[in-house]
Amino acid sequence: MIAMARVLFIGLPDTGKTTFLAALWHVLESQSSATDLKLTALSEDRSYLNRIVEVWRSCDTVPRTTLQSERTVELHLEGGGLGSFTLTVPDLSGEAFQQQVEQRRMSESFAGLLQDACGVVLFASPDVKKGTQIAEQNQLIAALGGAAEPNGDAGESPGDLVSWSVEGLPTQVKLVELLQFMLERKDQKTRLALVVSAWDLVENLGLAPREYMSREMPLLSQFLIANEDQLEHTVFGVSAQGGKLPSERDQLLALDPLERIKVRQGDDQGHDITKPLAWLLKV
Amino acid sequence: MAEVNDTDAAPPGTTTPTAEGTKFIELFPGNALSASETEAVTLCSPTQLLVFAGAEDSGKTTVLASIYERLNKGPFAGYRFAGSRSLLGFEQICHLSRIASGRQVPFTQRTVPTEEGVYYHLALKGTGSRARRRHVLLSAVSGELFRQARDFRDDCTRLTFLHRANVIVILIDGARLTMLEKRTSAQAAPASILDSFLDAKMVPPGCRAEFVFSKLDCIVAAGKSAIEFQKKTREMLERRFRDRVPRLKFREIAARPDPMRVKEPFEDGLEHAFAAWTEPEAVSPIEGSVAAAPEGGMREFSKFGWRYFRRTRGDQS
Repeated sequence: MIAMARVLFIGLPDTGKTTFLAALWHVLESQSSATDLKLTALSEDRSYLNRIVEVWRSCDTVPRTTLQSERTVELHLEGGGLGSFTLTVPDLSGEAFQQQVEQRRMSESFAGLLQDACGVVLFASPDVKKGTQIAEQNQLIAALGGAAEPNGDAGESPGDLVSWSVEGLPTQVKLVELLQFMLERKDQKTRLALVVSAWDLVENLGLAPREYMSREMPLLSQFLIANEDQLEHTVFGVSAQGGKLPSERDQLLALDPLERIKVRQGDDQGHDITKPLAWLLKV
Repeated sequence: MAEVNDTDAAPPGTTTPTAEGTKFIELFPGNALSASETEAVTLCSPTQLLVFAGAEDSGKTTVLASIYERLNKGPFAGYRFAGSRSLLGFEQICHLSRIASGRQVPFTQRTVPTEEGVYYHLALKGTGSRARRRHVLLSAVSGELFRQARDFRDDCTRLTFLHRANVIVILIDGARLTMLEKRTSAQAAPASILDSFLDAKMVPPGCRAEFVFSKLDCIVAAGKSAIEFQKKTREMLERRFRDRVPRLKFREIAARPDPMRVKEPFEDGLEHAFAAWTEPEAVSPIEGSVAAAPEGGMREFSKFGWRYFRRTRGDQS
């Protein structure tokens, strides 16, 4: 039985880490739906969770965590065959992860958290920045009957040209880098739940989360499969907010908050947002 | 915009405090690797070194960039991408062929002519169920260094990374083969490069050498006379090297074929080539031949091949 467990949320800025935490707190606190994990007792300091859940309940955008506002929340839970345990989740800023990729440095405190973590939730927004090749674009134009530029001397004016910068890296490259940094500092095999956040934006494509990830971020998908010996992984599609804000706010307010949440893993669809954590912690 | 610059960076793994008191651990830079940085890979795992040689603009960097771009789209040549210590380096050489660069036509920036080359790392895992992880280093050395190696034996012997090569790929510029005024030089350059390597005894036993016709789409698009000249070039190279290089192979690739140039379905050859280049072969130990230690003033790049050579083979003596 686990007495203490630490799970890390990893992700670039605006990928839904804090919104997930807010929705999770609502579900656990309300205790009115069937979930894999259940709250057994209130933790001493709930101020941060209560603050973010208020925003979530009123269907406003949950403010993103900054480097200055990072907190660690503690949840007393049971379920999933785990008995009773205390789960600690540091709510870390996406900026810290951006910093790892761009400035090539990791805070010592994060390295310590990483060592003790029994699982990791990696958040990825479905709004993926890709490294599309000019040739692919030209091929598409040609297929549509247009006239693409043949390879040769470029006719661009210098003002059109954008020089390379690390900030402009494709999303999947940034995520692979984060995972490489993590693997370099983890001694034992780790579980990773990849959460494609804002799943409502892409669910109409009819793809399962793993298929979506493999189509949109093939390099990351290959990396995860190739490193399965060190990083056991699964993929969830999670809509913690339930819809697009602010345009769908009124519709969302009319719903039961528990029904707003959508969680998909493979073909299973439901509203239990504790599932990614339960999967990470399963014995 | 922030630039990744590792010239003044502390080595990976060291801790540096900031003015605010937060302590940071330096992570690996992610750029193309120097010879000494490759040891982070070579000291941990058996590694296949692919050396791309050829004249300026023969397409060496485009081949590297295209291999990475293919992996970006999914499993390639029977492998899945399993990691890289030079992801930023790959991204940089791909930039000018991407929409994000603002260009309308793809382009590859030339490798800056310097005394030292760099290496790109790929960790790969076969797509089969019991496949093992494989590490590959791809060299990026400017065409100018190979030109110097053709001119002076002394310069050729400085390319000591060749001693460590598992595969030496000598590119023949297919675009130049189609130009009447340039084709004779394009034919002569690769032959002269291999001649220089052999003359300076830089090709280790067990190393595979290949002549690769690059920019195949240009040859195909140029028509019969270009294809004929390519055939003659191959015959000439066969005659010249077959006896001295029994494992000599020929190949033709179009690493970045122009869809506007070749409209028919087109086998660009890169996938087969990469699968073959990454296939390790048992290297027989070299009898009685231990390379002499480089002089003290020699740069890291030049020592790389020698150090590896000593560790893996020379130490047997």
